[in-house]
Amino acid sequence: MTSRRFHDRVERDVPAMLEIRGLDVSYGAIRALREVDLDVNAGEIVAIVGSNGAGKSTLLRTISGLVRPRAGKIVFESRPIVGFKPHRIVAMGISHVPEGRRIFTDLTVWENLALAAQFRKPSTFDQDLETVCRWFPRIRERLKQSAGTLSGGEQQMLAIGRAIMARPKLLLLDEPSLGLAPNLVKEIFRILQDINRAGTTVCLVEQNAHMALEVAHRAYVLETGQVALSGPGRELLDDPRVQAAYLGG
Amino acid sequence: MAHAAGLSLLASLDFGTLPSQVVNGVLNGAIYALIALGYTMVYGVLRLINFAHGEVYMLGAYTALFVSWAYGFRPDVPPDQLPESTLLTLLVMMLASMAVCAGVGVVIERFAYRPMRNQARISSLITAIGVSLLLQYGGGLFLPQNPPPTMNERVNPYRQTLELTLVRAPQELTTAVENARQLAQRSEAAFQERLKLEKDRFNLSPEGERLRDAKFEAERQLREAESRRNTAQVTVRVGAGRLAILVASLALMFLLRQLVLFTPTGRAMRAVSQDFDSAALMGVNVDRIVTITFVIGSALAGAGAMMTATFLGTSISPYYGVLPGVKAFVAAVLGGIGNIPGAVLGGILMGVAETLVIWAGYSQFADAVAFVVLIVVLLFRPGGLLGSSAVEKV
Repeated sequence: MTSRRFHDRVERDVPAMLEIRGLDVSYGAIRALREVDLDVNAGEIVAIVGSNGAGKSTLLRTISGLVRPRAGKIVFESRPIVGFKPHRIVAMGISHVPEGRRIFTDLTVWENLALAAQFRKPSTFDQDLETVCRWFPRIRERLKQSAGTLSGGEQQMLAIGRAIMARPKLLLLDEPSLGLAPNLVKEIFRILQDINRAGTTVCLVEQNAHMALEVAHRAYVLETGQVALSGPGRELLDDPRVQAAYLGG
Repeated sequence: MAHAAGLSLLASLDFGTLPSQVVNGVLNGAIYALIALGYTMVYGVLRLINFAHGEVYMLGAYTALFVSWAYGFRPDVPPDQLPESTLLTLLVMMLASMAVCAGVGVVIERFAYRPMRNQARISSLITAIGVSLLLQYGGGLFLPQNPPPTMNERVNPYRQTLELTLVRAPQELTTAVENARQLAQRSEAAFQERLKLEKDRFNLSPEGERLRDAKFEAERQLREAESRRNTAQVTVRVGAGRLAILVASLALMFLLRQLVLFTPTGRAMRAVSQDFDSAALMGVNVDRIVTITFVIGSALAGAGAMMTATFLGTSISPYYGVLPGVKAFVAAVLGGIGNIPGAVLGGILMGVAETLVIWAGYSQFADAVAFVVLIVVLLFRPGGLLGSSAVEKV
């Protein structure tokens, strides 16, 4: 990966799609994130890696409005979004695929997809459903089924498809590989790259650092709530510190 | 000993009225079901027991009363000068009750529960009990106590008792009754005819005595034929008002079902109920869904309150909602709290259980049935009849 170097956006005059500065998040006395600075540029795949409890999920939950930060700012397409309700942030173009998929198992697959699209006007439901089904052909076969009957891999596909129904500009994914067989993980990441190439910016959080760093244009390493390292995905993949800590030496 | 006591209890029961009792139990249960829906829907989206729901019901009954006063059904009007009730009057009363209850529900949610939403669950629970007490005792200050049920005096069609035959007796038994009745009428006529010829009514001639005995025999045969027919057929006696309540309740429940299953709002409600955060991430405005849930649940309670207050003529006080509220809450738990069909099932079972206890002669325990049911359910099926038995994820 190529000429685009980390921090070169400082020289460019186009601001990042998502700019996070000095983000502090606490749960009671526990500080989950401290002084986090992070950028996601339009068109990128950005990976956030780190061990369990490093604050990765908290970071995504704060961006999408589920958690209120104690300090710091989050700017999406030049608009500060801290304090917005989650549904407004979705409407602005940020969709979040939560950890553990969290699909609605009592609803049918179709209802899961319809829910995500029903609040957008004008509705382009049929077209969006077609897009999702093209990316995830297995979803098409199961539209009428209850979502609880899907396999783990299909549930993850539904969770991503559901987020895409909202036509996001920025797609946040929390542990998309969690609990999936290796070949399924590969398939999911391949589809994520396709989605990215089709114009959606992707920011994903992963414990499976190897896979994430391989597909990411840029990546951040989070340690106990702070950014420890950042750089192009490839570079981090070769970084001895990252290899020691996250890639099993 | 226990065996003998059981036998004597069985002997004392009137099984001929059992079908009527079961039907009336279902009718009573319809109201519990209507109130239970409010508990279960709010629990579904917020995991909160809205203890003020019974008081919302109480305010619905008062709203219906005040609207009926506005229509001229005032206690100071002499009964013969009261206006006639029309379907339109009743409809306006019901819509007004539903609207006021919906408003009260929304206000309670907005100002009492929403500020507590991110606090520990016990805070919400205490808030709910507080709101309930506030409305009861606040109502005690401002609302008339036990006003006469003027309106009920004038909803005559709904005060009648209907007799419905569910299972008909075989034709020959009905014919036998008819024949016996004709015979009895003929011998009665013959006896009356003879009586005119008799000199002394109290000292009949042999012919007079023969006709009198024939008349008595014919009447005895008629009673026997009737009793044979009655044991072979099932008739229920129900109040027309209760029947109207059942029909209206079923209609409202059907509307609710269609809304929840087939509209985007209903879909969002089910999503919020299953996963609050995940629904928010899908763009659902969860605050709006919570408000809609309170509107619907409270409006259903309002409809129920208007109907009981108007058709059954029970007297209204600020504590009017306490017992129905508790029983409906237990009904919701019985069916599986958070589960909408469960609330309907639980409400109806509760109504039947209560009626049967009264039928068995233990009417002083009728109000305790709810709590016995609650204890039994919590012991054997904590998730309720239709609820999931899964441990709740925190």
